[in-house]
Amino acid sequence: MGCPCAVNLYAEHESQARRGFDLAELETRRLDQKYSHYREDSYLARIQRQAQCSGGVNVDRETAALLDYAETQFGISDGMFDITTRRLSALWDRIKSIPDQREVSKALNKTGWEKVRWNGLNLATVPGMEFDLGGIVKEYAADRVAALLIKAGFESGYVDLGGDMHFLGPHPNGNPWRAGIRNPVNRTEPMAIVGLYSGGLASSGDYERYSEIDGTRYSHIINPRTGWPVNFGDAGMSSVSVSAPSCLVAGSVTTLSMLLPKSKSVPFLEQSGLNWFAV
Amino acid sequence: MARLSGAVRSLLASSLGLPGMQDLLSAEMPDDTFEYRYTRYDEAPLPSDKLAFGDPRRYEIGSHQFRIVRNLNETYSLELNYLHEAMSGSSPWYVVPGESGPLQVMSGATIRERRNQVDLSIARAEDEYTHRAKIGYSSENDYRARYGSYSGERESKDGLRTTSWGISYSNDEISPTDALIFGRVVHAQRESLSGSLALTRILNRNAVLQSGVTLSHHSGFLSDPYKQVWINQAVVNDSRPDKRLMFAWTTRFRQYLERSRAALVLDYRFFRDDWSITAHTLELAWRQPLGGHWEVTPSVRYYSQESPEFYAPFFFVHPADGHWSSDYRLSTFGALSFRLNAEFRQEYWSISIGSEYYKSDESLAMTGTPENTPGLVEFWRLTAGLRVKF
Repeated sequence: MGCPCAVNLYAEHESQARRGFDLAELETRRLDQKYSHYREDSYLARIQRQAQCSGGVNVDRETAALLDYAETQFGISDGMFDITTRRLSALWDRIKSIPDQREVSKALNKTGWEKVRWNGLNLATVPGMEFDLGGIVKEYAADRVAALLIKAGFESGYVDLGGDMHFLGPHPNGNPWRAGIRNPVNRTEPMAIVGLYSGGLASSGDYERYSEIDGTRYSHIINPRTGWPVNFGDAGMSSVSVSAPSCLVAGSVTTLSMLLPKSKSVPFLEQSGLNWFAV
Repeated sequence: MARLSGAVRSLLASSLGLPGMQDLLSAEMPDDTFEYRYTRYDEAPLPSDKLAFGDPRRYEIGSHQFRIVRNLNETYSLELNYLHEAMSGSSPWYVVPGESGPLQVMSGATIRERRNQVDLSIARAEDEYTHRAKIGYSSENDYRARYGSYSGERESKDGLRTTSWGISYSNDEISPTDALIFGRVVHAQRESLSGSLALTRILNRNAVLQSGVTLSHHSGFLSDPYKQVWINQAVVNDSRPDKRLMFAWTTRFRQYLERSRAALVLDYRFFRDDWSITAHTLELAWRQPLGGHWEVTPSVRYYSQESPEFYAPFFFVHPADGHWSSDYRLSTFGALSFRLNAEFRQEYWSISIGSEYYKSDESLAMTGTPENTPGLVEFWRLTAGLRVKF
């Protein structure tokens, strides 16, 4: 997953806990291999290539469900949350200088879910389009691993995939888990401690992944309309954490609120009905 | 948690196709539900020292209730309720003066009746609003009711306050059995209209307070066609005013106790109508989870009412306004009931059993001047139910 992963479980025997960890590791690896955009041999890379051919590609059920979810995300965000921005994010990833606007325009032509033909089974894209499921798969993996652990009989514990978390259930004595929210300024001290019983928790911040050029931070979150990293300056959020029934939904809501200026993201978070924390 | 926005609910719904997500979110998304409940209601026979004549065996009722809730999509849900009830026994008829106080005359023949009731409602829940419309029909051999209602609910953005409101209407037709033999009304109608408003407030993370009022108006034939009144040696039909305006104020309080993981429930209801009946109900319950799957709820309820002016066990003089009734349910009395419910819950199903003992007596009245009322009832109620979520 390209991030520190942790699983914390209460079990009656060590062997039982070990079985839980094995289960978590296997499933995380499976999803990582399947949807990694760093691997040429991943399932995602394969369908990405085939989707550009005429007739597109039929995808498996799990991928179909992820694409359905991505389509919903695209719809409710008025096109701001788009999984087809891989070309753009690659352009802005770990840069030393600002990319040429012609390069940005070229990548923009290969971007946009509206250019995708998706019918629930068959996927067809424009040539050169690449998917970035980074904003979905890690969150889904946290939920998926939690679901498998619950099915295996674990009631108390949590899954943490680089800050994308799913809490199976409270401590056996009924107390909630205490999760620290990272401080964007002072990264060693948590900014707040929240108590969580069950469900997902996701955080997003401009401190997480960014490039700095001439003193300006360029976030890893790209606006698919302009092709430029989201930068509202002081008018934007620097960190958002959301708890939701699933980590996947929590992640979507955090990313979406990072894509909006504060004037819009605060009402959006307030209306969501979820618990959130933002600076 | 506050009500989720449409956007969040769309995300939740569209994630359900992912493997494992359905199980993970089952507690968050509404379930389709099937419920069955059997209730057995048994009134104690009238003691022989209170009986003038007639059959002392009182009502026994067995009822089967079915409920199905089906979520059509994230916004709309349908609910169907069906009830079948079979009752038998005899009922208090009228009261006569005896040497050491009033004596109850019971109906001679055993009454056997069946009642069927069905209602269907549709609910729409979107953003902070929920709206529900219901129509229903109830039928027994001497009674038919058609009713409908609308209710709504609005939750505040922060989820701390809920406002609920509702109106309902019922049109009932009465055609008593053996009307000609006993000189009962042959055919009559009554109409009811009621409206309610309630506010719920989450006081802190462990306490909830709700307060609400209900106003209802009934008109038409409001007497009981099977009850009679002894007026100076003559026995005449029960005769009540043909209009009734009722007001109720209900306050409910819930306190969750973290240490024992139990909930304390305290309800109070004040009732007053223009027949000058005043009543108070106080209920105290303790919901205690035991182990991982059981929840046990003992509760006690106290009720006290003051009778209207046209009530008396019997009359020596004809009341001038033409209204009289000896129905024990209109007398000044108090009642205590003790209940114990237990529920065993699993992820997709639960079973519950419960029992209740109820005793009403004139000496339990809190206010008013109670008179000797031989018809006051004592009963046991047993329930068993099953609920399945799918």
